[in-house]
Amino acid sequence: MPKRKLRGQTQLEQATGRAEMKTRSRTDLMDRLAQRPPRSEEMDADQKWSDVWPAARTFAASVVPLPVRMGSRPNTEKRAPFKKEGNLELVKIPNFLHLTPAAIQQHCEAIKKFCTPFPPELLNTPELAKTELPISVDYNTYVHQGTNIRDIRSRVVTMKVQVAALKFSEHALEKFARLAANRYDETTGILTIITDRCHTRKQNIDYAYYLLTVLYHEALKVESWEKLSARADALKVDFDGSTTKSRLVEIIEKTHVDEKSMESFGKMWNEYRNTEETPEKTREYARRAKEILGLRKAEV
Amino acid sequence: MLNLANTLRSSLMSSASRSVRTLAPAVNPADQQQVQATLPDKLFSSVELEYRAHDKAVLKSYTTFLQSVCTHLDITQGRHEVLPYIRWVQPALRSKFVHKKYKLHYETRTHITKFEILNVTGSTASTFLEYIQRNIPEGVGMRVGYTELQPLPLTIQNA
Repeated sequence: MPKRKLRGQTQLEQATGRAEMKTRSRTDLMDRLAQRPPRSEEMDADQKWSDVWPAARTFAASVVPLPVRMGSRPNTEKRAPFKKEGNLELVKIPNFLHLTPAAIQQHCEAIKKFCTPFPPELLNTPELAKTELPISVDYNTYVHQGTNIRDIRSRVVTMKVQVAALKFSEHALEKFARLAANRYDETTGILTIITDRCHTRKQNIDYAYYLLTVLYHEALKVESWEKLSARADALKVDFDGSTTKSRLVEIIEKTHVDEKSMESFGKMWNEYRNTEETPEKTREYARRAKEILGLRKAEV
Repeated sequence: MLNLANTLRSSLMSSASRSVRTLAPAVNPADQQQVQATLPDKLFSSVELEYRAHDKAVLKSYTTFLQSVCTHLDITQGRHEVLPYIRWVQPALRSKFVHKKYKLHYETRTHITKFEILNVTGSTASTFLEYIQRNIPEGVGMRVGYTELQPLPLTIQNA
């Protein structure tokens, strides 16, 4: 026979209030929870949110007073997405609760004193940058979360120079273009030097400056053997001294187009065009055309 | 041999700045010719931020954050582009054995956004970037592209 109180006995004890309440752990927890509501319900509507959520934090459903729902449902009209309590998707996704507009303004007010204004002269006249600051250096830094903060790509440096600011003479510019080869773009007038030869960015920038200095000084030098350069050595073909020019000059000199020859040619032409064409007339036309163009001596 | 010993000795004596002994003669940086002209503060014609993540909603929120920071710090905004995502497909076989024709299609999408700020000084840029990067969300990687304006080096100016 198990040791237990009979039903009537327990009922009487409960009714009179003398029953022994056995504390079960589950109900105890529920009791405790029932006594303490979530923090979001005790919050003021006009509280300072940045005091509640000052820094980035994983989503805590009891702290956020918003009725947020998240979850994929086949038909949201029938069943709403899942509530925030115990919602893992809300926990997984990064939240921006620490960056409300008020918080951003607060932070920006605090860091504003470290900012400096950009020189207004450069903003007003963009051409000033081309003469005063003709070099633009491009480099990248990388931010990624991992065990290693370094990124090998950050050593690559691209230096662009406005060659007009170097104030070269024509000869020096041509020599500069030869030395720089495909790094110098004629149409834009920009020299581009891309270096990743050294291990660090500073070294690569120094190397780029070294290359620029060397190019500049070498372009200004005039060597003794440069005067031996012939027409075939030039980068661009020049009209002066070309066979086209000499031929044209020859042709123009040979033609003798004066009033008398034009008149006689005109007479012959009229006759040719307005009368019946014969082989003799065509031959005469050819002869007179060659004469007037200077390709054949005039028969007196 | 004697020359070698001399260079070693000289490098040893001036090895206060060097932790590794080399055969190169010790050079004092202060004595070296100054190459780059120093300005009071760096000048950037543009700073381009390219940030990538697997969730485009996170990038969108981050972009609104950047835009509000720019308005508060009086920084001119440049281009803002949302580029198409890069897809990495990793198919897996659907069946335990055989049936190569039937696969499961798994893909990883990396969404990319570009944001540019124009005409900032070095102090403003470093302030802005430190604040931005301290508040970068989890799982977002960033590339910052600087375009610094510099004058002609002293080796050319003084030539």
